[in-house]
Amino acid sequence: MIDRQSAFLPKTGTSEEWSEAYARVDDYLRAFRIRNRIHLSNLNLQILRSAAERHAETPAVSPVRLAIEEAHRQVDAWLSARLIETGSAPRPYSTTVGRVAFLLSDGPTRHSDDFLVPDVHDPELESAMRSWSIKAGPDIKLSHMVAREIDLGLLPDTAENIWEFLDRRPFIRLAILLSLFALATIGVLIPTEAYVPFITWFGHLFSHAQG
Amino acid sequence: MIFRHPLTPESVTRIIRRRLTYFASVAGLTILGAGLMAHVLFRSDAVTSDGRTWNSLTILSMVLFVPLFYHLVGGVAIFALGLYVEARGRGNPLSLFHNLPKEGDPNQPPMATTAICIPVYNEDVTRVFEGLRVVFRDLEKTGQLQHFDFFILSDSDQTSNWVEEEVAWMELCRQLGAFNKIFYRKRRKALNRKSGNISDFCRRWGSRYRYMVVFDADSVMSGETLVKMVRMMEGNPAVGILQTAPRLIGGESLFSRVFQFVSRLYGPIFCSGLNYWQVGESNYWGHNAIIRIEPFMKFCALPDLPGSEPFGGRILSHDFVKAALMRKAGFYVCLVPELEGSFEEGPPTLLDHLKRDRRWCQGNLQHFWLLWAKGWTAVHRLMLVNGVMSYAASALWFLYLMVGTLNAISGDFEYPAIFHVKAKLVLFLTLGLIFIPKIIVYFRTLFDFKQVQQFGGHWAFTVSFLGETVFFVLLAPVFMIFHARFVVLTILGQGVRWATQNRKSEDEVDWREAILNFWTATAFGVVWGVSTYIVSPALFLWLSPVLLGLLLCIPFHIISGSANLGRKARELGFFLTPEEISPPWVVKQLGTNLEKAYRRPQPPESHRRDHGLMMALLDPYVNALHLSLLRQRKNPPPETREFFEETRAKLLKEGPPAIVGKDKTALLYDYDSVKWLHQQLWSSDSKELALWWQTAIRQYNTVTVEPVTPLYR
Repeated sequence: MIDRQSAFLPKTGTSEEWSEAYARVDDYLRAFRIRNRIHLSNLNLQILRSAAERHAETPAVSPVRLAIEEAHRQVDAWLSARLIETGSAPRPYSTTVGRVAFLLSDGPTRHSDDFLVPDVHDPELESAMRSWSIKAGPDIKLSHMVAREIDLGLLPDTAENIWEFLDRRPFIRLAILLSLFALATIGVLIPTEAYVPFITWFGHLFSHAQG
Repeated sequence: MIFRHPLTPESVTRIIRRRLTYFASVAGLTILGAGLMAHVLFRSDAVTSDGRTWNSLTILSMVLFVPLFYHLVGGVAIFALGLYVEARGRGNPLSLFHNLPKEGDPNQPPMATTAICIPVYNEDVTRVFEGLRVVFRDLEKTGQLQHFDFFILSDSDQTSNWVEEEVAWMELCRQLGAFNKIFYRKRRKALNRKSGNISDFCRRWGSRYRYMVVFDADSVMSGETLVKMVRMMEGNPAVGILQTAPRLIGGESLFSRVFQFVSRLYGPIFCSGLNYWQVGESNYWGHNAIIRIEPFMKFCALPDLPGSEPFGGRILSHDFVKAALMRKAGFYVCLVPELEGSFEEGPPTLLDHLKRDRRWCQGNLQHFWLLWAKGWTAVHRLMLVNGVMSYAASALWFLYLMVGTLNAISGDFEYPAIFHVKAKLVLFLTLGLIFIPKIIVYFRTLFDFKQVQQFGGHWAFTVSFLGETVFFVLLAPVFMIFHARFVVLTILGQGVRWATQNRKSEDEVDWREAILNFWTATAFGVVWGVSTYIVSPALFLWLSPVLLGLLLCIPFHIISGSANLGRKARELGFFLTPEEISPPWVVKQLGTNLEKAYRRPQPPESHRRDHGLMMALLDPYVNALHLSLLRQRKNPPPETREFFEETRAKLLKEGPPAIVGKDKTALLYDYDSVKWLHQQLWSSDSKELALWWQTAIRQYNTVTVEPVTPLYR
């Protein structure tokens, strides 16, 4: 039997909308790699209740959006509370730092039951989270590394000029290449009469075709 | 201390003696071969109808033969010197390795700050980071880890790779407790590719370190080797670059296994021979090497070459040029073939090998301009020539065979000339030069009980030796045709794109891909074979090994590229290497880790391509990590804001497949967009989201509790 006092019964929105919101919050919390399903369900319902209160005030906004906004807010608040030392002044804080610090401190595996529970403060987790900082590289110490010209001599200079000239005139380049190829072919074929067997061979083929 | 300024007179004498030996052997053999060939081509008993003993084709044959024979003889001489060095054993007075005091010796050179730099470009993230893990662990064991820092230098432009690299970096640092020891740098623009990536590192952090060890994405080195390299550099202040001879590991396909076997069998001897005559003027191979950073930054930044690509522009094969620049600046470049514990992987298929050759070919041909540069040492100039020749030789060989065929077709002489006694002598000399060193190595290994066991035992080693001989007989003509084509394409101005290297084997090779890429070679082989057979069946017989390679290149690619066949060969004990029989710790551990990592569940097929993007935008931790590594942009111009707004909306409504790659990358660079999209994706109603996103969100409930990471846990 369900106790109506503790049951989640939103005043606004359809049950389909809230079911979708439930599924989305569940996915979102599971993305934090929290494995305890009962804890996840409790958190989910608590988030949905807060979202349902807001939905009663702003029914135009979808339950999914409100529920995820609430989840984001709670995650941010919970992570900030663990990053700021007790008694110290609040400081601007980026939620990204908290999420990375929680992961690197093995939060998802070792402290998953405490996730989003406001009053539980594990000193070991908090100190581990505060000590983490992601540094992709050591402090930069800029130096110069400037290419020195390589003296390539006269030939490459001349070649560069010709190359640039031909680069701007692709037709001339093609014509030169074709002429060189033709000259080479003629140079080989004429003195050796190497074309004769081909002509003879084609002649045979032709006479076979006619015959 | 061997390499210092100036070298001792004894060292100078030794170096001169070694080089004289090498050059005299090469010159002597080349003259002998050329003389015999001239005798064959211009012999008095073969005359044309008008009484000449030559025609233009015989002259052309002769002109082509000399550089080809020189190229062959150069390699053989190195090999012969290598055999001599190996037979002599220890006691090389110019060896950095043999003269390094043992660990614990009071004369042991000290350690110094060293950065290990790993440039990556859309590589297999798991392989890169697991490789790093074993190197880190092995260095830890040496007790010298405090002297080393690691840098992943990413130029990856595929969003998934980028995000996966970030996640893998964070996970690895967390698992190893290595924050502030392993660093990750992602360049926004991949200027000057790998060379630019290393220069970028030098400009930012170079002055913090005395040395850097440059890795390739697939490099692995043992901790002991790394420590020894630093000590050798410290003990020899005139050495600028110290290059190890990496051994191939991890081959799964038959193709990579044969290459692995061959490089392990002949590689050490060849490297010993190289080192024997190059002494201090060796090459830098671009990875698995340690570099003295200060002179590197001062003298080795590369200017552009005159003109535009493919011959001009940015220098593609930067390593040879950097070695030459370092030597020009007065620092020695040393190869240390005796240093074990340095590994890399090779391409898994013929096609992958050719893709890599295409880049290297253009890079080496670019060096043509540098041959005339002032200030190079003679040895480095020669190495630049050899670099050009390593691809140009294929084109020359192809031309040589074509000229021979044409000469036969012309019917000017009684052909083929190879039936002549002296022609047979040239043939046997050439075959001898190719096969005798191989046979010596075969028997040397066979009669060394310990060594032959490291190659699988007598029977398996013999089969592997014969197998690789047949393999390379079939492969050589394919390389000839493709390298010749690459040379021509480069000359015609077709540059190459910077392609990601494929280092992983597939179980089966795609037939369609094989046919599309190799049909021209096969067709050419058919036409060449048929026309030669019609004109001269005898010449056809002589050309048959070349023709066979061309005719079989499609099935050859498919069979050799199969990982299944590679595994079967391994099970049968063929093409085994000592690194497989008794693997060093780093290799063994890497294998174990990769096996675990690759067993992890894969993202669903529909989401695999954009998995990284999905994680960066949905997963709260990955999103936070990505944001914390981004710089927040202040006041972007209105056009930029508008572009981001439009792209974000499209991404939500239509999903990542609807967005082009560079726009996805742009979005992932924009702090506000990444933050906004994370919030919107979670808080939007399902109907507002593309089906792709709805499925992606549900994966947290249905597929896996945790997102798939590229690391094993």
